[in-house]
Amino acid sequence: MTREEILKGLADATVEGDSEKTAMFAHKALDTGIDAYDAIMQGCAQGMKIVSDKYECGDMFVPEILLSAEAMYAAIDILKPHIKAGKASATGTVVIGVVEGDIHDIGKNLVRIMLDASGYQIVDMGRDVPIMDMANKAKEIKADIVAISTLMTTTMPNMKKVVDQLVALGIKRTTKVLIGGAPTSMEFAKSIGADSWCKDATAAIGEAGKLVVEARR
Amino acid sequence: MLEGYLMTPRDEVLSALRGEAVGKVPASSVTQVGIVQAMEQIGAVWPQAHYDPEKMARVGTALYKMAGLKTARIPFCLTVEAEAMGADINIGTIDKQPSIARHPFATADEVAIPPDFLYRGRIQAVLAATKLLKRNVPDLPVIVGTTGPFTLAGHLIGIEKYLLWTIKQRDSVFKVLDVANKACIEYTKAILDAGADVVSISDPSASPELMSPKDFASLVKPKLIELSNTISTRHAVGVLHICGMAQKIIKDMAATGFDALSIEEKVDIAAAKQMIGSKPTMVGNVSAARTLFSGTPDAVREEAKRAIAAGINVVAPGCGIAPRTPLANVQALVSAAQ
Repeated sequence: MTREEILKGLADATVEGDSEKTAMFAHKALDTGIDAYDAIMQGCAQGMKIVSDKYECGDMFVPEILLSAEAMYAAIDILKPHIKAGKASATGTVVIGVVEGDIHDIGKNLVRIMLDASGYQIVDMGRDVPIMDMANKAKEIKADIVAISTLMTTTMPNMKKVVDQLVALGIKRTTKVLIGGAPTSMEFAKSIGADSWCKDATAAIGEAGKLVVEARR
Repeated sequence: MLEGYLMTPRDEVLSALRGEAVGKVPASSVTQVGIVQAMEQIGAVWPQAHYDPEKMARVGTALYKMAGLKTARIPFCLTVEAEAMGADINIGTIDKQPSIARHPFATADEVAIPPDFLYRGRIQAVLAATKLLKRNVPDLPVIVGTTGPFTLAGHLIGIEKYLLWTIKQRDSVFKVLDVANKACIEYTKAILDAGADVVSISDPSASPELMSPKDFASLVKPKLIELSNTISTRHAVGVLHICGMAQKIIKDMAATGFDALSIEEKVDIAAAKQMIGSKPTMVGNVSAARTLFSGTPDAVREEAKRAIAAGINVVAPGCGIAPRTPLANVQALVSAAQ
């Protein structure tokens, strides 16, 4: 198998959500001397890009994304230990979580998956994350982005509290805030001092890219 | 039909939901109605109102008392059935709804309805509150909200895992959904026995934002038909609420046999009406987040009037109202309908 065939195999198997196949291609990549980082970024991530495009135009739905993510992680688990030091200069660092008071984490997980596939270094704080924890973690790892979501109108005010806390810690200029979730909007994001808003996991990739540039300016 | 001014709020809302009404569009709510500002003033608050029937009934009518919203609507979350089937619950606070802390089942084979299902958790509290409302506020429509079968199934298993099963273990999906719907039907019958005028079923996990319209039609729609039959054979009114971009599944929602569909602002009422005709009727769709919660009274009035102009049958919050929603905005919603 050529390098191209293996990378395409990884991408296609990710799209199909076939974990056995992605694992098989991951081993094949290592056996034939393909760089592990390249295999992830040009194989799996390429596949997730296709998945996110298909989701965008209504060809794929959340169950399929979850299945593709499983397949992607099956390959990443095999490839990650073989990434050469210094190779994985992350696209950016992100602290992600569902805001305090809310336990709906499926949207947050989709965003994490997409950012993961785009090469971000991610700290996933889970759901119902205390406001202070979110802000402190961002300071600790000097995050480029704090990504917070909520599905409930009820907990929207807590998003502002995270923003306020980042200001209080003096890191708001170098840590950008990206928000998302059904009841939110760009208007709301601006009104609470967040830097951007994404309507779904696919949009998160683009917005995150812009925010990293701003954060490092 | 009686002249409009002789009709009670109950008659107005029920007729409007059935598509019989002529004249004014009533302002009501078929979704969650607890807001902090109203609860504090009437002296019954969350979380006690989630399990104390008397307090539940008072919070259920608080927005009628404080703002004139024509509804007696209980309970205030979508966790009652899941708890009675074994889920652990965080009961929440005055401004935080109860939520699922632990999903009770790991495999489809474990899922079963407990023999004493109707006597577990908060089910008897909801039934007792229904009876209280029926007795104490006969002029208001008594609306009891329940969890839809797909959402309940997701609560029992964990929604991500359950969604994955729709691809990987389709048999398990059917198995859990069957049991969940049997529980929904048993609970619905008990609610109707208690005297509810309206059963308002919310199935947010069946929204096109999570599952494909194709799966909605093949998995969820047959279950919802069973549920609507249960309600219509008892001559009560059935409402189906699905959040998000429900427009994509509006025809299938309409074919479930519910009297009314409750939808969010993401649905274009006029376009949806064109797709499904005059029945089922439509309830909504003033944005609970953007307008009622974070907008001004003027913005609420404007959006409510737009919904009425577009042909909404009952003007209402598009989704469960947020607990920190200003009372003035609910009053504005009501004033738009006058």
